[in-house]
Amino acid sequence: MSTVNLAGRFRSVRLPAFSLLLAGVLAVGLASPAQATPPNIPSTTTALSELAALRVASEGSMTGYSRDKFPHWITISGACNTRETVLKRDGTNVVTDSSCAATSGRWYSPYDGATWTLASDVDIDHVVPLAEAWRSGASSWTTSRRQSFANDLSNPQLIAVTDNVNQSKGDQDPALWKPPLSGYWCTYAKMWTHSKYRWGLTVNSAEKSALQSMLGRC
Amino acid sequence: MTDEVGVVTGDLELRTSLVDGELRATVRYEGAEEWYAITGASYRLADPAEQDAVHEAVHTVLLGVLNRPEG
Repeated sequence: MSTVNLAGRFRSVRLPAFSLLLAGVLAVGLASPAQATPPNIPSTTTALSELAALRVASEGSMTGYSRDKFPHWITISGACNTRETVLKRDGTNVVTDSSCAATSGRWYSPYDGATWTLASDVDIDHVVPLAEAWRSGASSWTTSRRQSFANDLSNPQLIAVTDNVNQSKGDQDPALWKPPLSGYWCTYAKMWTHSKYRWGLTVNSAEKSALQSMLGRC
Repeated sequence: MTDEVGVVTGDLELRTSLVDGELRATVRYEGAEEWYAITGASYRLADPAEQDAVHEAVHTVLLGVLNRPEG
């Protein structure tokens, strides 16, 4: 076996897709299903004052980053890990087996308005992505603090959404990516702002402008 | 788009590997500790005599396509 590697560096605002993505299959969507939302989404007034209090700084480097430094999907209760806990919280009529895997249920994704009946079509989005947190201050945290952030059920930092939409968001902040449904931008900006505020993360100036504009729609 | 974490942005490193005739492309954040597969970017090369040249050409083309400087 022979391996030959070639290496190079580049800058990508967005690494473009090389294959089909978002062949979106909209599942049955009845009248907007009852949906549990992440906790502690602030009022508009509170979100605006929290945004004003965030420190503005350019993004730090990604040196040393790996997702292993944000241990996630830890055990929360019984057999249930963080992902399974959020699936139960955000879905309706969620049935789980003895290992806490969701065997049936319905999940409405507020990012794109799609409803899913298979848990495998649903991702748990880190509202502030792990990579984005790293370059906004989390690189200097302990692994224990990063674990608490990556599994934060107390703030609006985790939400069940369509898996393809989570993939298309990736590591991008609101200056580069917003939920496809503009009707959700106000709520999304509140969640993003509150999570950054609670965790003491910085914003860059483009991100702050985008958040101000989104909160202006509330 | 990457298989593991979806869209990645910022300063990135590209690594193309030729392993037993199969060409693969991965990226990582500059200086980071993990690589992600570029979605769909793997291909088995047929002609062993051409493999090194094709590898180098594909690497160069990918770098050009992926580089999207701001401003």
